[in-house]
Amino acid sequence: MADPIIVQIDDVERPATAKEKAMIQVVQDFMASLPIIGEPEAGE
Amino acid sequence: MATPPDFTAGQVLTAAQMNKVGLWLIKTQTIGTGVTTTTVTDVFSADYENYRIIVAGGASSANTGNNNMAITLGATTTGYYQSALSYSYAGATAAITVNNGAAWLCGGQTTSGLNMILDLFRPFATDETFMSFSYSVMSTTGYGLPGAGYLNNTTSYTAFTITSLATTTHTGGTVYVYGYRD
Repeated sequence: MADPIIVQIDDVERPATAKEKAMIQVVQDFMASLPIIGEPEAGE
Repeated sequence: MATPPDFTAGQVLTAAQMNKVGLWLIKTQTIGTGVTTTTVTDVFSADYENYRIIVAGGASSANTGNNNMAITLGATTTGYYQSALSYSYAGATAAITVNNGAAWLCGGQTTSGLNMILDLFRPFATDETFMSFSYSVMSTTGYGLPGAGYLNNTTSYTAFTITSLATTTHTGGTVYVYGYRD
């Protein structure tokens, strides 16, 4: 089983709720969608 | 009396002197162990219009992607804009632009450490929030990047969240939030 996603709210660490997981997914998918610095872009 | 900040031992500071303190530490937050996000609450208020956020120390669990980390305000995951152009340490172009994206990408994360300098302007005001930042990727194949941007809405925020890249987590390090005296 995959490790749970842990969120920290101030001093409290706990597993992410479904709503928090969805928000994290949006942000991380966006980060992953950007070109990687130092690697040639497709077609180069 | 000496002109501040050349205070003398035992000197009583007046309100007028203390009110000239330009940068006030609002909150310090230690990042935990293996966390994907760190949310720092109740830091933006009517007390200050503009803020500086520093992240230093700790580490990412792995080096991957652009070795950067994201900042979001409140629960907002749309409307972020930024432009940033620099070079890798090896001289390749390094650019991260965000055009109505889900976050600002304004901090660096590697197994060597986390770092970010972020100036945030008017996040509590019911007006657009704008920002400028810099970070370095602490890796021999990394890059340093300064940039600026804004969040295109008029929401008032009190909190922000740092998010790690997918498949990575953060451990340790400290988040410092300062308010610039108005």
